[in-house]
Amino acid sequence: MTLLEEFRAAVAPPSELTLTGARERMLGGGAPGRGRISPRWTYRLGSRGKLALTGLGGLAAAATAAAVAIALAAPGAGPVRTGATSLVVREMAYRAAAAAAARPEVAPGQWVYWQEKAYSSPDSGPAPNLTFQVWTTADGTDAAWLLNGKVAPVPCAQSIVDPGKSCQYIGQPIVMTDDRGKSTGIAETSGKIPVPYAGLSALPKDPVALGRYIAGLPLRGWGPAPVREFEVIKDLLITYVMPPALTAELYRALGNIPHVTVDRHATDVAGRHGIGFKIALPSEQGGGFDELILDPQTFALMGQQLTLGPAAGAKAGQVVSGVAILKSALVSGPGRMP
Amino acid sequence: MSQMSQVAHESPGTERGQPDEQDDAGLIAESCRAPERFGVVFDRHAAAIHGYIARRLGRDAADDLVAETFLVAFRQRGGYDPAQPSARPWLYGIATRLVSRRRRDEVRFFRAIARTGIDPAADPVAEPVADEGIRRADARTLHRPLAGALAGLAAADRDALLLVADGLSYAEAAQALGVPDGTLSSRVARARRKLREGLGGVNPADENEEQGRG
Repeated sequence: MTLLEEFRAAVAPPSELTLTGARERMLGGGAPGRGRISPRWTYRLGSRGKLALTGLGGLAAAATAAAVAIALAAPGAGPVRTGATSLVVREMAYRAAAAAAARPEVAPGQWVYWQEKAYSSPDSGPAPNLTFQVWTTADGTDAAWLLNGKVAPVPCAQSIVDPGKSCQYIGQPIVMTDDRGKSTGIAETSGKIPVPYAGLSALPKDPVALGRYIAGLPLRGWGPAPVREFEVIKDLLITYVMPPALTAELYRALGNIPHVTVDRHATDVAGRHGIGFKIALPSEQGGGFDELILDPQTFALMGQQLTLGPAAGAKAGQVVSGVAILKSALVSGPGRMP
Repeated sequence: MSQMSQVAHESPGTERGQPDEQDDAGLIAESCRAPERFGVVFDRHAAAIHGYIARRLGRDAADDLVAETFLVAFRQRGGYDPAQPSARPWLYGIATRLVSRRRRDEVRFFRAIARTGIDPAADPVAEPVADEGIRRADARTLHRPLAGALAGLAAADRDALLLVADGLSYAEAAQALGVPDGTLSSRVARARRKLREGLGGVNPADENEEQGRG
């Protein structure tokens, strides 16, 4: 090595923070970086479906409280919004897609273990800050939970939501206690998810076409097209454990949705830092934001949160409900630990 | 495999968790309709550009100028020559022009190293070991006069020399500076001669570099 090369090689490498900031500034076209936005990730309990409480009868009051949350989040039709997607959003979406594409293939009946932490604001539901363990199949049609040390199947809520249809949960069931912590029950957001697991392979293959297809689904009451698209993708991501290539396409489609923004300083309901994809909800839906949070290193799904605004009677920036995925793993059956 | 996954693998130019094999020209062309693709160009070259600037102005300035370099590049990507597969000369050229706006800072930076022996751009934790350490320590004793000699070079000669020292071929360095190859060679030769004089006869470059790289 020559003296000049030695002199050059002595230079310390740039920090990751420096490169990340420069990259973001570049892709943002030179706009100043967005400041930290207070957490407002969005988990909507039952924006379309209904929160069904089963198990212990002592949770009737909790069901009422949850119903209030549903009413606050009730969707309404609004004008279709248009606008360009931020380059940072697309960049983050592509990174998430790359990470998702590298994950293992799964079968629809594959069991998945979840350890999660749920949060509901005191005036919108019971059992804030409860950590629990559940199992679901990859296609979200079967679920089990741990009750008093024993694994029990989650009762099917079809009679409440979709009579005559098979069980279909949205997201993972949430274990709850009553307001005194004496009774424990299970709640699942169940309803008709717009795309059945069996229909996933027939979705458009290109992320732009996929986004258009989802935005065009006949979903009355789901709000403007960007919100509809975000909500459908969110439901698919939080409910199913999908083929990795499809998950990747959904993240890319997420990056193309107008008005979706990235919060690099998102915090989930477990207090962990993450990268958030969020969308503002129209006032008819309570205002605020719906948000997905991803791990900033692995881009694995960390959770979701719902923040409602004053239009729904909530304080500005108030997280109404959310779920943090503390651990998830493919397992051989319900009750099996990773 | 689902239909989705089959098509996903057929889609060109998208990240799949695999290294992107597309050349810079292709990425830049694609970035005109998919701007995030320029991020791959950034990932390939940003650390090297940062090091090049840090060597000339220090790390703090490099933190700023590497961002500015790529911002300029991003905004000018529509005019990139698609016949140039590597964006390296183009990016180094932008960085060099930005450095040239801080000539006084650069001279002060090199003179400070020459005077104090403290190199603010160096990695304080990257200490070599054993024989390599002894050899590097010997080299570092020459960094002070080398920095002093660099401060005394004409700006155009220093540009040419430091681009070549950063690993660019003569052709790439000429392209970066927008000068003919012959001009670049003359500048490098003149710079080396002056450095050799400043170092008491020590050649700052080996024979291969004297002959050029490209």
